[in-house]
Amino acid sequence: MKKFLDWITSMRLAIGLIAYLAVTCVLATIVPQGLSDDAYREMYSRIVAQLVVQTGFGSFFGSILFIIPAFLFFANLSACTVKRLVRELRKKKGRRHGPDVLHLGLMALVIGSVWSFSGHQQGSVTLAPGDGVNLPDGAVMRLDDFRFDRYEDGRPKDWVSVVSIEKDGRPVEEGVELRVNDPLRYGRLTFYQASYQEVAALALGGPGGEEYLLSQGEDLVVGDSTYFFMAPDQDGSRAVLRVSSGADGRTVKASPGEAVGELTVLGLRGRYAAGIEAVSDPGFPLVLVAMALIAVGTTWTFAQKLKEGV
Amino acid sequence: MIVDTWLANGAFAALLASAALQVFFLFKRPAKPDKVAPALMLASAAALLAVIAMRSVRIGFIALTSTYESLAFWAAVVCVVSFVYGRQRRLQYRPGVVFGATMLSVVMLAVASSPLIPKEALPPIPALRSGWLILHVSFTFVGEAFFVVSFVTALIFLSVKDGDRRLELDRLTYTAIAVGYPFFTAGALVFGAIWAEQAWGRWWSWDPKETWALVTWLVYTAYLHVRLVMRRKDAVPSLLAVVGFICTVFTFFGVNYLLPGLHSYG
Repeated sequence: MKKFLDWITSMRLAIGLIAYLAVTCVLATIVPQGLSDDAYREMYSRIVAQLVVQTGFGSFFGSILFIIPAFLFFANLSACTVKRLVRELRKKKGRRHGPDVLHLGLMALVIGSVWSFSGHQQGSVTLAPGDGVNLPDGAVMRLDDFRFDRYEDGRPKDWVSVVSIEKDGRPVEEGVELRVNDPLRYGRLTFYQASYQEVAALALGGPGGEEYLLSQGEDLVVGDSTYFFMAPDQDGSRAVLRVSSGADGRTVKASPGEAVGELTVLGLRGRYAAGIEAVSDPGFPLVLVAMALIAVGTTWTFAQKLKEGV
Repeated sequence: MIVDTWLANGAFAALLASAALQVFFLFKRPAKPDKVAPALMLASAAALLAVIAMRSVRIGFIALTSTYESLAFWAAVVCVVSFVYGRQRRLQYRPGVVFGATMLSVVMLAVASSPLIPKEALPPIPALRSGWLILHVSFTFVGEAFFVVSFVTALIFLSVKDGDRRLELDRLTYTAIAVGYPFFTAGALVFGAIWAEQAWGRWWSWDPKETWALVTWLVYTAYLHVRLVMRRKDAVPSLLAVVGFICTVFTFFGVNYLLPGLHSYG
């Protein structure tokens, strides 16, 4: 037991593991990650490809080549932290707790990382203005507007999704601007402005001169009829619509100016749709705490050491 | 040619003149210490920071989002750190350390002014419009400016044989890393991860730049444990300091040009 404790708390083991992790991490940036076995066979000589495939180096950070040494490093770090903390607490004066805080932060980071990577869930949805999506808690998130701001030279300046969330018919969030670097946190979910795309939209004129804009896949009810915009036709000049009234339904192709039921096709328009990503990461709060501990511990450790001239 | 280009060229010229004067005084060893070379170095730093300030005003955001701006900032911080080291009269290897750091700043500015690096001041794309990015970049480069000093002192350590001289150089290497390491930890890892979470929804992606930043941090962590816990004062810590700086440089340049990933614009 003593031999094991000496080994698990030894600095040689720590340095050896740090060296191993550093070297293998470097190799993992050189060997492209996540490719198929065939891709490695095409890319490398037979021996190297075999080595990458057999050892699982193609998914290094999820392989035992990484996980076992990382776990051993965590065990070594934890054992050293406890041993050091006990030693420091026994001292009457001249205690240095900076390294303890730093090491506790690192331990929390490892736990938070495992929690974060195993519990991380994400999904994305493309919404055109007016579209909504159901959230897991029964609320509905609706995209009110999407803006694509550009600089004068045409480069993208900002992608802004204006969203609202309603739950049980009551607004929870209204007109929140979702930007890159400025996500919306709602419950356990965080919503990110992830992408955008241009989608076809159909402009329809109503009998009273009103104008409707329907995104592809969206429907509109006017009077007794429902108008469902399916897609532009193959050459993009006509709109393919499904018009239904009660049990009757028909699919029509209509050009601009043509009447469809009570409405008139005004034309096809391009419209931006926002790609919104929803992420749930239960481990991130612990990771944040860990990082704060690491930052405080590092600063405390070296401020004290430099002050003491060690 | 716009004012900030003139200023940047002036900073480069001032730094070159400072390096030339330092070479002269390294061999001449006059009775009075040289005051012109440090002043030129400080003027160079001020000019570089002014360039960044002017570009910031022009693009409406803190200009630390391109390789050119990052290099200018890094060189400016190295100049300030070198100036401070140059003021430490007790330091035995002051001229050598300051000269080495100055030469590395010259290299940074030479790379920045090369045709390889785009110099246009462009407002940042949405992913780069973040206060966390500014903290990430600035803290990282302040830390790396001290790593420049540690690299120079470690190289001098490896080139001398005398025990007392080595002890002094070992102390200098250690103190530079002890100051740089907390800045680097906060900048590269902590602020970087917070920014990544806000921008992409993942605080860590094993992107090549992140992985190399972690490798750099691991090497300096190994250095500190070898130096402080194992109490080694031989060539091993200095070799680790040199490897750490090589990793630092590769993380900045090599990853950008050789290993594409999320940071390919940086």
